[in-house]
Amino acid sequence: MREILCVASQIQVVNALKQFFTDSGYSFRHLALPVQEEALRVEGNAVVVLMSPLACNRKYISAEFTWKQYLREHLPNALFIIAGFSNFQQDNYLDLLSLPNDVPAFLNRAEPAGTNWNPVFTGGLDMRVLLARFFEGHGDESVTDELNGILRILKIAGDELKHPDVTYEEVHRELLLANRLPERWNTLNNRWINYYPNFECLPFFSLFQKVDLALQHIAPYFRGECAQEALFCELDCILHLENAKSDLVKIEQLYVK
Amino acid sequence: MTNRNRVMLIVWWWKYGGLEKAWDEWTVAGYPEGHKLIRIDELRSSSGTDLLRSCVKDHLPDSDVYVFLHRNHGYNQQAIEELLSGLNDHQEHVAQLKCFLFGEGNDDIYIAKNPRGLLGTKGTFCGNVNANNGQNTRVDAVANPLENQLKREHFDFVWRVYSHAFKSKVFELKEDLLATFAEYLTQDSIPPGELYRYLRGPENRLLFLRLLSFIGRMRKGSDLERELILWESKEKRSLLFDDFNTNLKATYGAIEGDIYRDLVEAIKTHIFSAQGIPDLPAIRGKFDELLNVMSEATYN
Repeated sequence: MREILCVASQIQVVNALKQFFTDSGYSFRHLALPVQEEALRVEGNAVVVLMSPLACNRKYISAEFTWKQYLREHLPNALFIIAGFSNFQQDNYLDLLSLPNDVPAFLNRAEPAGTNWNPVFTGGLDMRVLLARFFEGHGDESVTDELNGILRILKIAGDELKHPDVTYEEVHRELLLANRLPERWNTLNNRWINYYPNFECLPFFSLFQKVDLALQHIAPYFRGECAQEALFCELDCILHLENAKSDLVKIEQLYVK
Repeated sequence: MTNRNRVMLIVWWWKYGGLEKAWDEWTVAGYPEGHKLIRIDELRSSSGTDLLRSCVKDHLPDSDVYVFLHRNHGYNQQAIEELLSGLNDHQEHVAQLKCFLFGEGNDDIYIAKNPRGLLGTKGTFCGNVNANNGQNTRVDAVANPLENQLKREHFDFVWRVYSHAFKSKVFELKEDLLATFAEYLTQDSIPPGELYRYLRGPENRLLFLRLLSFIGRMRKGSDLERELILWESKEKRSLLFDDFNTNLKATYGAIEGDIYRDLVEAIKTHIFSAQGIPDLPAIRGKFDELLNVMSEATYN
């Protein structure tokens, strides 16, 4: 019998879903937020039940489309069920106010994640919009624009410092401060703080966690107004920003574009 | 976005932050001058309301106007009604006006609550944000202090959040209410009065207070209201519905007001009445009707 993996954040809902499925003989596992990707490394015939919208970061987020995209990639044979309090009728939607009597029959009607169907939109903050804004955002919102800009300047600084006759003080004054790097870092950091907690409800949150760790690692250099050459080298700022960039590119290519 | 300008009129402790006149204006970097924020620091009074009304009237013909009224300056739902009632000669534009009550640092307009906010500390546009790594980050919403100019992303973000504020609050109430009663979903029937008994449990106190506020059973200045304001502070989100009913009718119209009244009746009948048969699908249906007529997206 299929195992039920339930992604939900409110304990009352988890308990109700647990009772609903276990009463029909299914085994049930709750995946709390943030979802650990390892927990989704299961047999292909599992059932992933996503409560949507999900209570996350003091709002309700609708991430069903992004989850579908992820499961299509990683668990195409799993059944993907969206559960919620909306009055929808769709084979892959479980209306919690009108629970079916025959659970196996309900699951038999549901389509696997790998087939071509569109989830219902459950009306919360649309994760597709949030991700698009995070990656593109017309310059005012984009995290990646700002990160790329900072990385480009740091790389130029790194190249300049390879010349024996160039001092860090010169690079700091004429390149880093002239290009407002500490201020741009603040902008990047503010944007990151604004988005990051919303991504806890995504199955690939661990990639965002890696980016967060990289940004935290190099933050002391920028908090010191980029003035300390020792921190620039010791913290390996360019490498960490490049890693952050490559993780973000991976997310964008797999789940946003 | 429409061609109309966007104007925010904010009553707050601006005098601590250097406001020396009755009001002043801040433009927004990258936008035409018509997009602006007006600072006012007037306690609620007839002259204060006159000033607000005059500012609103000046801008409504070509601008969408959001008025933010600080509760600690004495503003409440009645003050909003007074402001709106003086705009009868601007009825054709009044749908472009929204009024919000805010305070205690709990709303998205505050930088401490939201790194894209506008209100910092001590009457300024500058404040600290506590990042997830425990570090404080200084955030400044000013683009150019010499030209009284704000950063575009802060102005845009606050505008967007408040464009959706009423709908997201209703949406969250609906989801929280149904989730709270989720343990009854697998039961064949719910006895009369059972949902109210459950709602009065200490673990559901916050939902109980929000529902009281939503259905209009929370008196201004009461202990219950003070308790809900404390919860706002703890939860760091806006929970009071004291500005809701007036705005709903003014912004959306009479039909929407009727739908809201039906929803209130459904909540009273199916949850608050000792004899009423609990009917969660009926309450859901009324919530959906109201949310459907609020045409904006739930969140920005």
